[in-house]
Amino acid sequence: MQINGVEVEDTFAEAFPMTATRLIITAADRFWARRAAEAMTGFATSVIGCGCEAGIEAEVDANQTPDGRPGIAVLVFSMSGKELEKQVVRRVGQCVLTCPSTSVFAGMDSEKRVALGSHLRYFGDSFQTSKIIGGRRYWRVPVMDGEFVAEESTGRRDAVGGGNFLVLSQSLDGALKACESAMDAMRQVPNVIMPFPGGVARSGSKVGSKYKALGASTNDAFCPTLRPITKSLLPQGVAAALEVVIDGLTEADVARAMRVGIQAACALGDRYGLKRITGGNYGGKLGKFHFHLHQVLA
Amino acid sequence: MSSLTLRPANTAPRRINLFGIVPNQVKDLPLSEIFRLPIRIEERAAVVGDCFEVVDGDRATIVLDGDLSNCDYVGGGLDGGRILVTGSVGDFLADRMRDGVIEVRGSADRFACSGLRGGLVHVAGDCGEYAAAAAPGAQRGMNGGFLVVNGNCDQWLATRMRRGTVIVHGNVAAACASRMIAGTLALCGQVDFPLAANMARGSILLLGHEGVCTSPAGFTEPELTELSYLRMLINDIAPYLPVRICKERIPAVVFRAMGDRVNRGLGEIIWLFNTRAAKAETDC
Repeated sequence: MQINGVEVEDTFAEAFPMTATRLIITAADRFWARRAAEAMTGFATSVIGCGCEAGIEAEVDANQTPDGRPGIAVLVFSMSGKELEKQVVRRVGQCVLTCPSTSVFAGMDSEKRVALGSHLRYFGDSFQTSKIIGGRRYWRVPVMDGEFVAEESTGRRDAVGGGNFLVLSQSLDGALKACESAMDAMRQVPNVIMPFPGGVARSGSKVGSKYKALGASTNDAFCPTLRPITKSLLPQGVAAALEVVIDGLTEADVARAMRVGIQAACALGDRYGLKRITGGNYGGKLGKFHFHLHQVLA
Repeated sequence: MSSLTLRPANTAPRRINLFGIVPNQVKDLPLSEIFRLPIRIEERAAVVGDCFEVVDGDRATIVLDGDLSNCDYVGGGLDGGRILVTGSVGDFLADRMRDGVIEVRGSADRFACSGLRGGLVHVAGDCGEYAAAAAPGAQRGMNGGFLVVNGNCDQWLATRMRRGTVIVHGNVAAACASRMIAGTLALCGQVDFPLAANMARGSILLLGHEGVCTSPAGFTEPELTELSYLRMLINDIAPYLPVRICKERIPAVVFRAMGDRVNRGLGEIIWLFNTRAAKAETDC
């Protein structure tokens, strides 16, 4: 398959099951809401080393947030409900509670719950109070700029992590431009995040390592500098490969984001030396979700 | 189809206990069974047919048509559905009600919603003493749900109230919110002192107050405070507020006092509109 002169390889991207929650962070204005959201989702690129994968999903208009203030929707993904709760409480406690004027609310309804205000309230040192509004409990924790309001808990649901596609280009500059174009398009897709810096990873990994302590190591088959000495998967003329990684609430969300992203990247075509789009997989051994690129684009 | 309707058969001033005569109890019963539903007349066992004429109809709503001011425990045990009372009711309205709606077009006597746990109770007239308050022998008063009173409330409103929301459009007599444990009061008329004595937690919104804010004894001086949760709370209760208040813009900063500090309480009294601090008034 070719789009705008760019070859889309007949392969699949491999993704795995995760559990996810959505938080709505509000503040006096969007500047502070975004600062809190950025801090909370920092160092959350991969569950391998960060405990969770998190990112900003979208801005939320003031008339759609619980307290009528500008908000940011954040998605957090982890491998288990227990780890997700640990990460959410820790990150909200250190990055949202500390940020001036913020409040945090559940962005998802579900029977499965993740603690939020129910844990954070203890910062109030017994001065905290709760208020049930519309059947939901909110904790009001006194802080130096007034009150930090946190909903008792948020919902969580099964999700999909690790959806991906690789952009192969004749130059690093071309690969970056293609990924930036893909990101601009994919950020409009709801229910997904791209957790790596700018949504893109340059350090795609393979399972295993020559060092016993490591479970993952550099994907040498896609490293242009190793082409002469390894079994390279890079076509001739390709100088850089970048990986766009996608976490989504459903398989369909991830597929939609992949489609939108691949199409946006390919729209640049030859102008930026884009040669090929491929998918990262581990022979089907890592995850149960397989996104076949040709099917995703069909 | 009209609703199942019960009309008092006579006007003898005997106290009737109507606990359990609610839609969730009668929904699957034939009319003959409804006639035989047990009630109590001044502590004696009786059946519905002894005191009421019953007109069959849709069981999702029960209409109690007439003056029921001698009937206590109206709506007792309601767990879904609707009860419409065209007149007034006696004591203990909505006792142990968990869900559903009760609409009283007249007034309610003492202990209205003392045992309310959920749902909505709307009293178009007045409420007697101890509305939403702990009944004799009970540790706690109202424990959830909404009580909306279009008229006035007598003394001891929300005494030892635990949870839920009470909205009063009219005036409130003295001793309101005494030993209040938690919950929300939205009072739209004048409120007599003493107010909130020994209040532990909870919120009292004084929506009808104009002029100088004066804290009750045991409370801190009113101070300007920004409360982001307030907009959520007002939006939640807005459907039950008088139109004149709904039209007001919710201010970003309000006067707030905390107490009752005599017992280290963390309750709050909030003056929402057109208010000035007592200190500022004195300075002028």
